Amino acid sequence: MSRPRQLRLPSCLWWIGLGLTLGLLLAIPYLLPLLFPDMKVNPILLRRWLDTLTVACLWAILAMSWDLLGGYAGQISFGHSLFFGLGGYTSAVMSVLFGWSPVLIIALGGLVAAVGGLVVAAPALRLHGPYLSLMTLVAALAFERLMRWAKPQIGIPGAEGAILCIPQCFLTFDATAKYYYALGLMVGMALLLYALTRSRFGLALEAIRDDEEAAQAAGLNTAKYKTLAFGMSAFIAGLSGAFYVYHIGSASPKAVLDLEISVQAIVASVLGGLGTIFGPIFGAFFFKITEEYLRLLGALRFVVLFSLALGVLLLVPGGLLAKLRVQLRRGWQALYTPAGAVRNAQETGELGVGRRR
Amino acid sequence: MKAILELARISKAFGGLQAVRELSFEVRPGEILGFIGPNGAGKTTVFNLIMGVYRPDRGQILFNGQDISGWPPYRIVNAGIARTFQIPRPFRHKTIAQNVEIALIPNEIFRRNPGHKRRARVRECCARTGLCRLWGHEEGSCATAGDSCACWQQSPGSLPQAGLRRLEIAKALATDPALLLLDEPFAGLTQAEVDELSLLLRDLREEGRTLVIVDHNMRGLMKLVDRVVVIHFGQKLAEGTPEEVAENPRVQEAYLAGSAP
Repeated sequence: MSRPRQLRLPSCLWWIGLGLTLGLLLAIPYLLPLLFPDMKVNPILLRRWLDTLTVACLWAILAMSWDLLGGYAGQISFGHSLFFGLGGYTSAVMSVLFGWSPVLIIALGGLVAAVGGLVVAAPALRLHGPYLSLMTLVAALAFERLMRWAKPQIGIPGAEGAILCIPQCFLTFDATAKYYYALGLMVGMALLLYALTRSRFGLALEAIRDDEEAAQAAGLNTAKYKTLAFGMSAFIAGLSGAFYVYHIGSASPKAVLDLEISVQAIVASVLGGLGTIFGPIFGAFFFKITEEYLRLLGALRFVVLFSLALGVLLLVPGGLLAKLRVQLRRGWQALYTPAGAVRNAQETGELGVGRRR
Repeated sequence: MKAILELARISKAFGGLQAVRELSFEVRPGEILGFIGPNGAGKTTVFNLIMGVYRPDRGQILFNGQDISGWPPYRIVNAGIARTFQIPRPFRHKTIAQNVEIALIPNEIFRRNPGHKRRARVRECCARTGLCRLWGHEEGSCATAGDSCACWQQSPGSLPQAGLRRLEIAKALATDPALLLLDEPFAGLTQAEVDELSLLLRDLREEGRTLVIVDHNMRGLMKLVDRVVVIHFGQKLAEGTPEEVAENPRVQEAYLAGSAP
């Protein structure tokens, strides 16, 4: 039985799209005042938006790290705020105590979080599905409560376990520079994760996600791969948390350990598309920019935002970016093939529409 | 001749259910062993015990003289035993070729294992098991057609039942096993497909691999296997050539009071 060759979107289109997006992100500090004359008049407004984008970059890193573990390895963590917070508190404590260079301290934040990830992974290997998720959730909660109780007396201690580490942990007053640092870290992590997930390591993780027992039967040491996924994911989440403290100038349970951070990372990943790496970036930017837009609504904005996310989850469960890809592919097929061939290609159950589950 | 695999009085219970009781048998190098029993006799449990999915409560499993009971599955696979599942379990979101490639990934993260070598082996396994022929490619053409072969683009979802069984075997073959355990490889296949698959299995034996084939009846196996082990309620009922076993009254009794197995 012969089947028609499947049509693929030429990969150059994909890279062109990616390059354009990156160009846009690079140009944003200069584009914003051009597009919105308000910002030229009012630098505080520009600064606010650049800060929003900085946070969006950090959230994107967090969401990507979640995607490695949840989207690729299929280990759904509800406690990524633990790794984010470990990185964040490392930043605060180390900058106050030693005052090393931010680069070193942020890297150290990632390492501390990675150790945390490995510690969580050890018992997590015995658990599956909801039990694993619950364990990560409880671990994150436990650490948050620990910090609230311990009230570390370092730097300028705030209420409820907060550490104010200004000026030691303050990166720069230049919002544009800070945005570029965050963007650089995000792009670096995206490239790292992209390479990682397309390597044999990523393939092994996907095999574990699809069917762990079959992966073992294929000779994979699933425990080892899952542990590595936990460590790697925690490392990257820790980097983003460590940077975040350098952005806001303090570490507190509310700012870096709140469970809502975990939820937002998951929502961003799922909004953009699980198991895609680039999807979570899209999701995080969508989330943070919408949040800023809805600022006028005050506390209500989160109600609107999460309702919006619910809507997307219901209507486009595969994620917005994945949906966009499918639409692009359809358009491409319609352009370059007679109608019959398109139908055939769709009927053969082509792959590639989703790396989604 | 020294046995390649030896089960020595292994037992396994799940709660109150004694799934396998004091079971002993051996597999000789280079043979095709039929491992049969009525539904629920414990055949798949025995496979899971050998593969390290379960740990036997008592007894030893020796592979090439080495006790492998209690080893994790991946270690057993890397030692040279592979299995296929009764219900094919492909990695649904990956292509057919990637399904096979997964079995070639080393567990050492930093070991050099260039992609082109893995892919060459994938081609070999896909061609070997006739996966390419399903799309009208000539036998062995995947080896030369490279990535234009449908295996590199199609998901396992596009395979018919017989194709999924072949994929299972291709995945197992990729680990280069000395001993291959096949769990009901003929279930749900037409006679023509059974004959074709039998040819492949004989081929594998010619290569020097040892095969154990599970089935719940012997009809399809009679011509293929050298020896048969019959189990019933987790215990060994009979062992011998297919003819001997078919005439064994205890075996006939086990299969619905006298109807031929």
